[in-house]
Amino acid sequence: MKVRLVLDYSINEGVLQPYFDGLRAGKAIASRCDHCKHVAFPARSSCAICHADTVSFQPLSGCATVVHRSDGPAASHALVRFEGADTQTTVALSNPQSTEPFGSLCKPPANQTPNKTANQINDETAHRPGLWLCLGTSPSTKESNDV
Amino acid sequence: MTGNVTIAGGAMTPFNRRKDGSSFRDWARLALNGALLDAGIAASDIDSLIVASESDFFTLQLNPAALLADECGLTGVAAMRVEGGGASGHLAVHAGIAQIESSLAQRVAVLGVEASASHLSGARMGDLYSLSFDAWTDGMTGVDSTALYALSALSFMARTGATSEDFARIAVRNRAHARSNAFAHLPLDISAGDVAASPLIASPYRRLDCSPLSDGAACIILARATDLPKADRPRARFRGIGCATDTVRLGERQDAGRFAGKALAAARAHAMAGITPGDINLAEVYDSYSGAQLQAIEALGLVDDVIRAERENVFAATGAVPVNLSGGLLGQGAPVGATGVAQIWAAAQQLEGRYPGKRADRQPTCALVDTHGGIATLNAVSILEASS
Repeated sequence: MKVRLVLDYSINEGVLQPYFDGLRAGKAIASRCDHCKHVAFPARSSCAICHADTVSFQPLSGCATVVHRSDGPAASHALVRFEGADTQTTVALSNPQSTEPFGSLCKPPANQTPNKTANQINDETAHRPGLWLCLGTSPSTKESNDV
Repeated sequence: MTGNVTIAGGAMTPFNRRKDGSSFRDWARLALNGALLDAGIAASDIDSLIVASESDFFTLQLNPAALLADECGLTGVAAMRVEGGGASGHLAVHAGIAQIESSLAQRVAVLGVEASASHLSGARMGDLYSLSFDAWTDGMTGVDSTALYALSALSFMARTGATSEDFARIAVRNRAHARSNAFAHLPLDISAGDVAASPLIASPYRRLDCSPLSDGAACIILARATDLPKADRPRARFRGIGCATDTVRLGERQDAGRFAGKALAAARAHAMAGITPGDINLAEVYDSYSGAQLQAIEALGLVDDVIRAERENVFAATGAVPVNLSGGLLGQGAPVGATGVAQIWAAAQQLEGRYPGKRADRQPTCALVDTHGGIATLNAVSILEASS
């Protein structure tokens, strides 16, 4: 038998919405534990270190240093450390042809959603909060590099 | 733990990509009926069914435990489904042990089944698997399973000096073990050069470093020996079990290459068993990727120096601690819900001296089985021994 299932989810982001709003705008918003001051990016709703249940949101510069990167034919990913964060972060690389060991957060590129209509691409790009890094850029230059 | 829970019997279907038109319901019935036959008991002797299946998106069947109880002629039994990503099958066995130890049930059928290969395309399965980590961060970014394991492996390589050649040796050896396993998905005769020449997926991993998506089912029956007919063979029994989680996000771990949650699960299992890792002389380890086998052995503490031991063939059939003689996930295959059940079934048969595939050169007396979900995020470990 053949079955085709199409599901359109609308997922509430809860207390992490400021972090996701930041990503959609290409900005890095970390969580900072109100108790032990641990800074997590991606943001957390509670502290992984002291388990405090209240965090505040804190903008980061968006600059990150590559710790390890993995390349494949379709995509490249990296484990990076964002400036000001106490955690590392797994990201997708928007310009994997670059070998620079640093970069800055950027908006998800629209061409990462193949086989979709223009409206679907625009809708997903506007709403799907991915962690993308543009290598070789600092926040002052990245606006011109954002896709 | 009392050590009273034995494996009364078991069975599995071949693990592969089904091209014969058979359904996951067929595989489940085959595995369950085979396990009953092996145990020498009837369906009416079963009072609890525990089904392991990772995702309703794979089968397109919600509430599979009720369906499979009905399909397998077990209507009336207690039933539940257990899910913990890649560890689902192993966790279902732990749930069965708990039922028997607490006298909630006498004879439990643990049935793992998954249609990971034939129902959906590999790309769509990859999309679904990428939700196995933090779906809101890695999932939304499209950081898939292979990329996460690759980043973890790179961290492990940087710390330990492990090389792609070490990984390739495992990819070759596990497939060679699978050549003795009639149920294996990838019984391949390959060389390290073949691994290095296979298509790049996510550096350092190439196609032959990755375990396959498989269809299949496996079932074991758990019971106290006193609740079973007398057997003319030894039955393997559980001596200790442990389960532990790690942070979901790789970047939050102190060392992205160390499987700390697995180490915790193993420590709990060893403590319950009252033994040390040095007592283990056979292991079935969760080798979703070639390098992950070394990361797992390190976390399980089976040897002091995992890289040196790997290079000295300690984990071969001739070595002190043979690992993945079934072929592991790399060779035997990985129908997710069935994977952990089949790992335990392979170790049990080795302890009972009746494994039909590759056997250890020295008869093992104490075996460890290791399974995980995520990237060693939800870890299940069991220690088994032979009983007379």
